[in-house]
Amino acid sequence: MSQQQEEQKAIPLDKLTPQQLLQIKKQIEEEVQQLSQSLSQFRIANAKYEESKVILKRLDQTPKDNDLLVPITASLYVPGRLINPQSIMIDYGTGYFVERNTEQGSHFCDRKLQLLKESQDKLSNIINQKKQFMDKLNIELQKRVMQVQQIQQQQQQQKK
Amino acid sequence: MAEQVQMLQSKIEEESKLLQTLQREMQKYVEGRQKLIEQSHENEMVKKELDLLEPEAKVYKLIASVLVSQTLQESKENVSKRLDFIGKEFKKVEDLIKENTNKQIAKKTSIQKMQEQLYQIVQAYQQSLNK
Repeated sequence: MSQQQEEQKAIPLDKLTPQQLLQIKKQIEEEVQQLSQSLSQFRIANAKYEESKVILKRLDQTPKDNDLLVPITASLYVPGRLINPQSIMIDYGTGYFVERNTEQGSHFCDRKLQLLKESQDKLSNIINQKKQFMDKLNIELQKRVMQVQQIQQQQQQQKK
Repeated sequence: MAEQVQMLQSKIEEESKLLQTLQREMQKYVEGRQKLIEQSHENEMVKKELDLLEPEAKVYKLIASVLVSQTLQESKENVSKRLDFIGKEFKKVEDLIKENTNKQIAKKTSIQKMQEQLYQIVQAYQQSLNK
């Protein structure tokens, strides 16, 4: 917010030419698009963690020694037995994995979801700010168009 | 006059090429910097999670398709070291970016000066023709 205010103070909008306004508008439009794409990626990550939580709950309810199929490759499964439905391996990142139980796994997902939510909120804020700035740009552009029209009308009247 | 013009023009071309090289360099630096930020983020998150673990927790490290058992202590130290390393690399890149920016500014100024010189020479010549 402060950076934008600085931008607006440094270059008051009405001192810019229409071409410059259009340029800035295009730039901001592109930025908003990119940021919106990032936002949708966040939503996908959100969905994955929620799904993981659901799966963990189901694991809890699965009885021990349950028969299952274990994927060895993308098209090869091998029959197996669920030995410990409580123990799961969590990918922490940077190549570290930790063995935990399903409850701790669920807490892990919760923490990640919290982080995601915070980042998403920040991103939404930034996108809104940029959109507001774009609205101001559009208003300024419309003013210019009306100004030009007014001048043209005056010139026509003078000719008469 | 023609000699001077040619000399200036070829110098301007030279400097412009150097400027382009600097700009390409800059892009690489910026990309590298971005990667470092991502890595630092990921390692920070892992560090936070590891801090939440009890000392007996079973931690494994993925070493080329093999999960190798590690102690919590080892893992924490490892992640800290990585974070330090990333921090140092980040500083290096930032310094390189600063240097590059300054070099670019210097080049642009010199190119501008030469273009002005060129313009003045051509102007003077045209005026002398008009007389």
